[in-house]
Amino acid sequence: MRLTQESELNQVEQAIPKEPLLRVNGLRVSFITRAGKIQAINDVSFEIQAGETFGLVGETGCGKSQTALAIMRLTPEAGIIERGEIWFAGTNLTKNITREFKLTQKKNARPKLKRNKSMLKRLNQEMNEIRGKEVSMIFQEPMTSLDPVYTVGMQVSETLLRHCTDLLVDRILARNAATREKLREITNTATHELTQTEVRELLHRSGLERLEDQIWFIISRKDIGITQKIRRISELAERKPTPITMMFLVELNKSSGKMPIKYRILNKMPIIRRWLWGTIQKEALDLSYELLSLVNMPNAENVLHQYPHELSGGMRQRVMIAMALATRPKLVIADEPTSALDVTVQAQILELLRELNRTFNSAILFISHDIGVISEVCNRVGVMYAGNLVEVARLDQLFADPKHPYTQGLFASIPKYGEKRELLQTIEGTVPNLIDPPKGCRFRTRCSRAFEKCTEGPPWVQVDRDHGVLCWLYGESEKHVDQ
Amino acid sequence: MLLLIPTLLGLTLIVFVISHVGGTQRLVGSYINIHSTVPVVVQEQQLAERFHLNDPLYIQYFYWIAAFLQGNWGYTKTTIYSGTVLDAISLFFPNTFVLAVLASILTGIIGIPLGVWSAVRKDSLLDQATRVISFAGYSMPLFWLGLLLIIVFSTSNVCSCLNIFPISGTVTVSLISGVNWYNNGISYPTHVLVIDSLIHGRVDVFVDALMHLVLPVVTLTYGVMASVLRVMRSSMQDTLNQDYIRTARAKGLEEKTVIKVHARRNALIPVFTLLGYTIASLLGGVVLVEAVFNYLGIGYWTTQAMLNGDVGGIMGATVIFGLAFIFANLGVDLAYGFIDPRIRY
Amino acid sequence: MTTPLSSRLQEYRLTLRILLESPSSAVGLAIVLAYFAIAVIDYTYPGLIGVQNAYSLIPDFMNPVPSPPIWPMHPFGTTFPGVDLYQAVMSAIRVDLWYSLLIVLAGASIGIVVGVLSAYVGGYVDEALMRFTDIFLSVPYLPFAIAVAFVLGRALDNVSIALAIVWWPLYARFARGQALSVKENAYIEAAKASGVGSGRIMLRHVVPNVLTPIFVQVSLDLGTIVQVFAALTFIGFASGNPLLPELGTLISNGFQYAVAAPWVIFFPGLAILIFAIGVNLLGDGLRDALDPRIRT
Repeated sequence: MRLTQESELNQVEQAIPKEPLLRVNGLRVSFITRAGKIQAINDVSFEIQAGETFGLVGETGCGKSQTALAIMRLTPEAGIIERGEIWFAGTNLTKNITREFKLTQKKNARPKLKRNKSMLKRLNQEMNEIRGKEVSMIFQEPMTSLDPVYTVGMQVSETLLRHCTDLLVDRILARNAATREKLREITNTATHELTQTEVRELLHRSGLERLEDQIWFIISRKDIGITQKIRRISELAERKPTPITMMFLVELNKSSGKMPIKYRILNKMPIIRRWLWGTIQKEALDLSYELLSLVNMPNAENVLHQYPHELSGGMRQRVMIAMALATRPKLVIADEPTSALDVTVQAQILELLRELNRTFNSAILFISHDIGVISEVCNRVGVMYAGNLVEVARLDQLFADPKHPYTQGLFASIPKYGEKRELLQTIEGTVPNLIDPPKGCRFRTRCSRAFEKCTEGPPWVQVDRDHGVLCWLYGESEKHVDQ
Repeated sequence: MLLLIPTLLGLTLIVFVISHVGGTQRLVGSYINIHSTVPVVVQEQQLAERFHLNDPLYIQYFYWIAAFLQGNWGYTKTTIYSGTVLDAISLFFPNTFVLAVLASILTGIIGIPLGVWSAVRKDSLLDQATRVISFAGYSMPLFWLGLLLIIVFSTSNVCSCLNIFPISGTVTVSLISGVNWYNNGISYPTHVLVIDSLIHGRVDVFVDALMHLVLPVVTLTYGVMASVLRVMRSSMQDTLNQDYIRTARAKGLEEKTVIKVHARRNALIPVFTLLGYTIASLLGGVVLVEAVFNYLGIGYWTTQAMLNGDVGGIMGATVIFGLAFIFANLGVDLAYGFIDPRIRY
Repeated sequence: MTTPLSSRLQEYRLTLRILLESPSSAVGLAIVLAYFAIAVIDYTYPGLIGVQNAYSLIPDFMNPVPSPPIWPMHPFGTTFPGVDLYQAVMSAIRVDLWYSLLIVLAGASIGIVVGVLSAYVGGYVDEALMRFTDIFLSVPYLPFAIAVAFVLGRALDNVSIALAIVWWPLYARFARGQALSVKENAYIEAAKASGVGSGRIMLRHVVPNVLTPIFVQVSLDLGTIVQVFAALTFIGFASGNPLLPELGTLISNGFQYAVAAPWVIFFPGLAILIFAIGVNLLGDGLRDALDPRIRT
């Protein structure tokens, strides 16, 4: 009896699909320019599950970066999301797109775009709660992506102060309960041999559980010795806030990070505000230091006070990653994070991303033009061409059995070790003009296997459970792509 | 800091060269005593001997520098003041300083925020109005604006309700006659009426002096602010397109924070770069505004010296303008390092 | 590379077309052309625009007091001493335009030569030339111009010389900056690699590419110089010939009567203002039209 019930339960469990973390459905993004309307993204749909690493590969101009920006609702000024849905963690990020702008096109004239400013404002207010906190983004050019006039420490703290106020207050108040005597218990035991659970037990006994993060960080540091660690743990008891700041912090804690009413007016005055937030800002800086160590930044203590132009490319990218992970987001979008770095640094950054994905279970949307790089990080891949998603598969499936002619051409053009050739294999032709793309399948002008049906929207065919193609060669399907 | 020395030397060189282009007679003209028994020609020769004017140029330059460093800057003889150049400068400079500083502060307080908001709310009514105002400002001859303001705010025209601001001078004579700390346009001890009147406890004079400042300051401010606005707005627009602004938005920062913390500070950097030229316009504008409003400052003294053929005056004025400019630029260079960490010594 | 003449003309026509698309630039161009037209007509057939004597103001000592505008005799009114303001302004436009053009062209020519030479040759020559220009730049331009004009003597020609002397360092700096960035371009390296001589490179490659931003700057400066020139004459420089029609002197003549007879200073100033507006609109429009991002 019981066995059947269990197996039934399993079947039911498998039958209910887990709600994906990110669901993009029928996304269409266009740009209104002097030369015409550029149809940059044309009906793109895909899903990313929680904790998964999904790669988006394609050549320059295929629309992969714009897809990322669309998810963040950071499409540039001239661009509009004409239709589609973007669902993130159960929230519809595109619920009002029809009302956000008005596109008018008179005969033979350039289309005119008018934006609804109040809707835009409301959208930004809503998105600002999600951006940086639940979804964060790492950009391609770390030099221009960091503000040159502020220190690294300030820029990382900025994210923390914006989104994690309650965490910071918690840490400060946690230290409040600690005294040297209580901490001595931990320092007396062989600190470097403790595991995290053992530390937790010890802390639980003396009622200091909230200090776990801070103490564990000190213990797990590899750059200082035992004596230093003991000293720093003991110091935790010393770093308490002053009584007046304490009042403020307790109030903040009670209202879980939002400004309590009593302090609203005081908060508006610049000098008093600086005073109130001083301790929290320092705490944010400390936490930034922890984050920088997490991303393996050499000499993190000094880097905190340095400016972006004083760092190397790899270091800057680590800063961007630290900023992106500060709030333990559910999804991290990495837009060609290693394209501007040299190969050795690239390997380190990729390893870092893999490790962070494992540790924090953040999903990663990794965008690149380099299939080799994607294969290092992702377990599922989507291939884009000229604004369309032409194939989606698991990494092993894609490499073993690429279905779409473009993907096949892509793999064929990579020179293989041990293979003797006179000429490199290429895909004939060039990428189409997106103002006036070919009707139907946009790849058909270069496809060796195109036929008459290709002039109409190719269907999305789910060849396997995890493998789908946008091509007539694999049969019909209910879902059509329309132009 | 060391670069200051060659620049100062260059300044002295220029003034020296200019002053000697006019010829000997010019240079000694101020010293000739027409009432003495000695004929003018002989006096000229004597003075030429005394001032080494017959020696080769480089020796003259040497003596010139020596005299300069000792504080002997020559002699000025104009309708408003006769005496040594150094005295004249100390009497007139404070007024000009007040005028220039007030105009600069107003430009900063109004111009920068206006430029920022104009760029943020692109093509809005505020933006269009700002563009028009700024454009009119740097197309308009400054002295003409001053004259128009005088016309508008004078007694007879438009309507008498607008007769609030005095249109000339630094103070109403009737108020101040018979006072021992004011004599013929010059007040003691600081030579700045607004301060001296407070020191001597005459609030009515203080208010009056303040009223006299309004129109000149407004004119000068408008002239300078027009170009500052233009640069601020365009640089803000460029800044808002930068990648790090996109990063800031991706971090979920409030738009207010993005603009105030990240965009504004970076946008100020090009403004600072052009600050040198802006200060040059400010100093030039001071001359015009003082001439139009009969405001007793260095600019007014310059024009009077020019009209009276007073070489000492002109040279002295050039020196002081040059010095003010050099030190202002020094300040800008130092401040530059302060706001842009990429340029630090 | 130097492009053949026909494609150069094509480029200019494209620039003109983009310029005319924007209404403000078109207005600017119209204003500037109108002013130049007035100047030329005033020089050749002054009667066409109703000017009796293009070279001198005609005083009317019977009615020296300025009288308000009446149509059609005195459309702008009269100024002291009985001069018809309309004719005065028309001729003054010609005079001002002439002098300002001279000043800007002279200053720009000297400046460009010095700047490009300095940038291209580099080394000690560059240092020395830049120090030399820096000396000139240590004094703000207006007081400097006053000083130079003063020692040269109070006449309009000397004012022009003074302004040219004061203005060229700005162009030298500007041209040097532009030349430096052009110098870094790959095609210069390519020219050198194929053995083209230095002088030829400078003349045929660097200078043409530097000319475009300088041209924009020149047109903007024309407006500024007209204003500064008028300012200097207003302060009282042109005592040589008090009957010479010039916008600044007109304003200073009318200074005493300004409160009672505002038209006396209004119209000359307006002439300056409208020209400056036109030139600025044109200059901004040119700069936008030459921006490669818009041309594609």
